[in-house]
Amino acid sequence: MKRVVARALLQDAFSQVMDNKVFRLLVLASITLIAPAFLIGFREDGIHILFGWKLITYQELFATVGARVPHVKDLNVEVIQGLQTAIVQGLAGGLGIMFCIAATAFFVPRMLEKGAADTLFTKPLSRVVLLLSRYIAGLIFVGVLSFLLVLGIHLGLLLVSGYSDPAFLWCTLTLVYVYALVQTVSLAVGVFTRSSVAAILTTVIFFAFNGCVHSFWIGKEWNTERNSVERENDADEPPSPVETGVPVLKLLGATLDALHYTLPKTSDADVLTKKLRTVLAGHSNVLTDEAGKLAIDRDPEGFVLEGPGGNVDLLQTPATWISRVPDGSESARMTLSRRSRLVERPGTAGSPPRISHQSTGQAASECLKSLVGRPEIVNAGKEHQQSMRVSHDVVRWSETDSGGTLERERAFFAVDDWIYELDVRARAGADARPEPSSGSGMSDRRADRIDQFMRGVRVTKDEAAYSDPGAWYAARLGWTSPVKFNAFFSIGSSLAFAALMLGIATWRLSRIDF
Amino acid sequence: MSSQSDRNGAAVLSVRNLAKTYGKGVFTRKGFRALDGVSLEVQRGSVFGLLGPNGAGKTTLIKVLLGLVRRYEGDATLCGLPPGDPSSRRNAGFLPESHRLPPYLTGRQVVKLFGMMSGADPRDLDQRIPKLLEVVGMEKSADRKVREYSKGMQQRIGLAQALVHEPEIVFLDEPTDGVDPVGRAAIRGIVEDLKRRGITVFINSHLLMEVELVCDRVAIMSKGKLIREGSVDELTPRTGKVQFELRESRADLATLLAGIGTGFALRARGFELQVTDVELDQAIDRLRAAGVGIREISHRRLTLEESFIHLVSGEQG
Repeated sequence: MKRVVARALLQDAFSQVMDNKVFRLLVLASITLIAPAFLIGFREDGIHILFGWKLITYQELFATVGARVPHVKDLNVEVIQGLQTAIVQGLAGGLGIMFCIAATAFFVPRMLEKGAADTLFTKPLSRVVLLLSRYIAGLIFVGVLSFLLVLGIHLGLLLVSGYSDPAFLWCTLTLVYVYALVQTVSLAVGVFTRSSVAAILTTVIFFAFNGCVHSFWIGKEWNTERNSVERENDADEPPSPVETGVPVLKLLGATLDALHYTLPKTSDADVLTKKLRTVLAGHSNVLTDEAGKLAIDRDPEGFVLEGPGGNVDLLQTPATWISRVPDGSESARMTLSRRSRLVERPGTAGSPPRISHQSTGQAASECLKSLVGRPEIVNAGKEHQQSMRVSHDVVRWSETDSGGTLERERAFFAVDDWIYELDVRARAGADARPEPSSGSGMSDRRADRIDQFMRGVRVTKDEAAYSDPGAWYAARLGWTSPVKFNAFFSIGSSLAFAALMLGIATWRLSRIDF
Repeated sequence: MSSQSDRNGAAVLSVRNLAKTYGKGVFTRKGFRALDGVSLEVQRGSVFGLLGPNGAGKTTLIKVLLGLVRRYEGDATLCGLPPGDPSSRRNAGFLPESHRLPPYLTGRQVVKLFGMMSGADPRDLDQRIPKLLEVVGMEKSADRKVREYSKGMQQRIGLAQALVHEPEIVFLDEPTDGVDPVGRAAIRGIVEDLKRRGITVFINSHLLMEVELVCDRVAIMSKGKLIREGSVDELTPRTGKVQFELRESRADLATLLAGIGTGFALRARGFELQVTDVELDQAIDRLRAAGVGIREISHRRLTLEESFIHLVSGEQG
């Protein structure tokens, strides 16, 4: 194709987009979403409205909904990232894409209308080139809108909140990628029916259906793996109905598999973008214990890791975090170590000894038992806690020494054949950290220490038992993962679907008599 | 398949036994036969008119040649190439019967866009378009959006886009449709100018007078078949009647010319009479002898309309 022809088609596509009323409406909607980024600053001390006209602290903000301010290192960053995700991936990636489908679905049917087709298809261009020009018009439509939205939010946050995450700009690519996949359906339906309404309805339904298929498939795979992990740990756990072979459920499972592998994996785009953002942002863990498949994402608030961090072997060398009061003296310390949870039990009636896993509850009970009878120990007790990521058992007690009273805690959590022990010792009344907002009781502060630590704990083994379906799938999806979780397969099969749709549309178009 | 004329470069368009049946599919086996074995050639530099009643297959013939209609039977070439080849359309311009130009562009942008789509250099187009807009009478409204145009204005811009890349052949499907009399005269002028420049013009029209005025050759189609093709003279033969236009009419003309020729009929400014050449001389002598002033004497030919109606009704009957 000659350059001048390509230029003409691009100019036409651009003019068509710029003239579109829905496009203008969506530009306005994007500006409405961008404006708050320029008018509201998310700073460390709180939210600055209209360049400092009013300051709302995070305590005030969370108090209005009756919530406690979460103890995270950079709350403003967490809030900003949450808003970015909600606006770009939630609003633009869902509702926005649907609007764009509705706004661009008429491109092809209108091109094929009598009169328009007579003029266009008598130019020395092949039909497929004209079809692709309409496809590109759709991509320009979404590309301009996404770039405006993402760049606008990025600039607003940079200028007003002082927050910069260049990797966020990749979201533009994600939105265009998702739309590029979905638009092929709109194109194919448009060519077959020559009806804008049919193209809009079919594509919107397809987009929603496609999202449901992948959510259900992820849920199914997560459940299957979780059941299998639980059965490994507990032989009494019954297999799921799908696994036992209930024919209808098996058929449903097979259908879900077939649909998942065939349809474009639009929801993977978000996961891949997040991964890309993480890589580009140079995100690194505070500490990684590869042998135990554990990573600590961040230091607990008020504590600093002693030593270099990075890759460590907690079986050999425990890691220590220290909290200090303003004069530099130590107020609290956390020590994390790993040991085997495999326990040899004596065999019954002459059978050989058997190996079993010690549970975290058993480990906590043993710890508690070891404290009994010691005069310096008071208020000893244990409890089971379920954090956001990893369940654990905690033993708490107080003990006195020459320096006064020590608050002690020991948390136990397990990953595979390992038990991690987090030992906490804090000098009573010397905690350098701020009071938890919900109260000032000692137990709150103590519980908060463990809770804070556990929030930073991430099990790198991507087993269903350690995470929710979304997080589990995000962990499994990767460039070197097995085929069904492989990012190349995800992109490749999605592009193959898009190519198939374009192929069908081209085939049909080549047979139309205008 | 190229014809001998194609190879000689004389025929810019050629069809042989062209047939097209619409709606023939798995469920509709019979279909509608829009073209039924049409064969014709159009010589380079001529103005060719295609006539026929509604549903005769005229537009289908053009659409086959321009690649808008696929899966036909027979052979067809445009500029020596089969219609399915996009390159065959590089040297062709087309003004469709009821076209819809991009409403989001101005008239000037439309002409430039289609020129570029046809592969013309944008710099050449920038020089050519103002002149072309002037020729079609759209220089003043060229920068308004197409959606604001009347039908006639759209027709003029449609004509400009068909000509902007300076094609070898231009297909005009009902070019004067929706155009006022002044516009029609302008379009006629454009066609005559194209002919002078050696550009082939293929006109498809219901307006027989328009065709008669500008076409060198005419073909008449009916029910998908070509029923007659020839020059305008060939299709409008002499009737043998002679028309006399007189300076002043007289009531005794019939008496005066008694015994000369047949079919005497009075007309507004004279009379009409079927005569031989000898009888014509006698008639003139008698009129002059009686002092009747003769302004004009002309041989009456069949109009294209009369010829068309005669042929088509014969075919349909």
